[in-house]
Amino acid sequence: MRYLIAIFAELLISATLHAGFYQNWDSKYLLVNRWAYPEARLTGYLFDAFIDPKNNTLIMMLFRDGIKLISKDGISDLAKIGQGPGEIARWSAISLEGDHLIIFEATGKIIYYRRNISSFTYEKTNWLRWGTEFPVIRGAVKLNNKYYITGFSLKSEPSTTNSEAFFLTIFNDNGLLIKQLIWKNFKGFWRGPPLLTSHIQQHGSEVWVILESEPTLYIIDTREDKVKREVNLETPVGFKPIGDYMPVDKYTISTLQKKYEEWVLSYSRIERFIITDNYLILQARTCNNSGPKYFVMLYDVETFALKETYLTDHLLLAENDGHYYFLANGDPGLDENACSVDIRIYKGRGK
Amino acid sequence: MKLRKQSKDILLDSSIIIMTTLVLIVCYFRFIKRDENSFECRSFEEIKILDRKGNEKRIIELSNARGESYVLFLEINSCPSCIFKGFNELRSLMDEGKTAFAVVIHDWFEEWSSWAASYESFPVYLMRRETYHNHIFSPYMPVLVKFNKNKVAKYRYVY
Repeated sequence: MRYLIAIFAELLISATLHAGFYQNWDSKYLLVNRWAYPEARLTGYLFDAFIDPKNNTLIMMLFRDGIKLISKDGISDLAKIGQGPGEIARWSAISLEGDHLIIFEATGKIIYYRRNISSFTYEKTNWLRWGTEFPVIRGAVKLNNKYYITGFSLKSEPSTTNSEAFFLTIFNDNGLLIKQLIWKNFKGFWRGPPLLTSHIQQHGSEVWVILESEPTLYIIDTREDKVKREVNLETPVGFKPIGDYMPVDKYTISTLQKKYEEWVLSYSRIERFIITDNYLILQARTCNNSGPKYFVMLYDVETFALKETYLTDHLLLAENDGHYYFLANGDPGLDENACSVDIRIYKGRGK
Repeated sequence: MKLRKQSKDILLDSSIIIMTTLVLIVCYFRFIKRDENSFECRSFEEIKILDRKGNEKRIIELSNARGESYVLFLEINSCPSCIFKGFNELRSLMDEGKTAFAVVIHDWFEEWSSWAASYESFPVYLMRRETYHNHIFSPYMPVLVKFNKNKVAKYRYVY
């Protein structure tokens, strides 16, 4: 009976997506430009991406490739891979603060690059002086001389049935721990925290955080460094929430690597989170093998009401001045046909 | 009678052959074939490291020549949780009154020095990569090595 219900639900979702319940992104937004460099290959998961508005350059950080700078004029790499000054290894997150591009390493190393005429040059290095409360860095923002870092930080040694973790850690400018926020308890799901990516964006004087596993927005007051508000965001029909399913029987590195992708593609995982003047935008997997890969969900940035939902196969990277930048065919780490640099730039029709 | 002597000889010859083969196998694995997973340290007494002020020291100035010493070898880029685990083990050894210190393999003094500020309560030293390649082989780091009279007695990879 349970199988029948599951099959029926699957058919219903599939039918919903195919029946044009939601429009395709292309039907509402017009492809206005394309930066395609087929000779340049991309490998590994996308860690983060944004537009540097001053020189209209797309900055992307990928798990294997490091940092790429992409514009209409070409593609280049930023920072050599290594352990020396200005070099990167175990890169984890990237952030833009004024004229500084800030790179965060898993080691706690923070590398500052300063914008010059056409690119960025190395300026200085800071370190997070973490004790035992170190986070695994998944995203970072620098605001009010503080570092806001998303990624799990275990509260206690995980057991086979339980684990607790904080998902936001705040350090001061000297790299000293100020506070940990967004505590989660994973009962019967102890492998969860190390695998979960979390997204962070600055919005005015606030920091907004979303975990990939749930469409809940955490609004952080950066003056008092506390969670000001939690907003449960509405999801579209066909959105498949995370369940208890975790296809890893035993916690070993090899089983995790083999099963990780199976797991992250098994639910509507939130892969991108960006904020524009009017919208909070989430991009999540549809988990529909025969239809488009992603939902693009546009929420009102003031009321958080779900305004529009679109379907697409491309991965939303960034928005700047009404232009939306997508990487064709998805995430290079998860989607086999997303391996070359093909940036598609869309703009609203009639805008 | 003759037949019995013959069979005795065969038995003796076979035993000699088996024993020789066993000795050869043991010698090969013990002395010739290098275990790719094993930690090795050559000429311990010649190893030079730098302290936090940049002063060069010979590692034997820090180790216990007459007894046990524990050295945690690591890289800044070793897995962060493994580094913490390694330092926690080092702390326990120090609390027990054992000679214990950490050696970080790195080429840039300033970078290392800033990183090491996070571990002010630990004796942490810098080893240049060239020195590391000349004296040490470790397939994985961090590795906690127990030296007895400056010879490797035991080692354990920390993960």
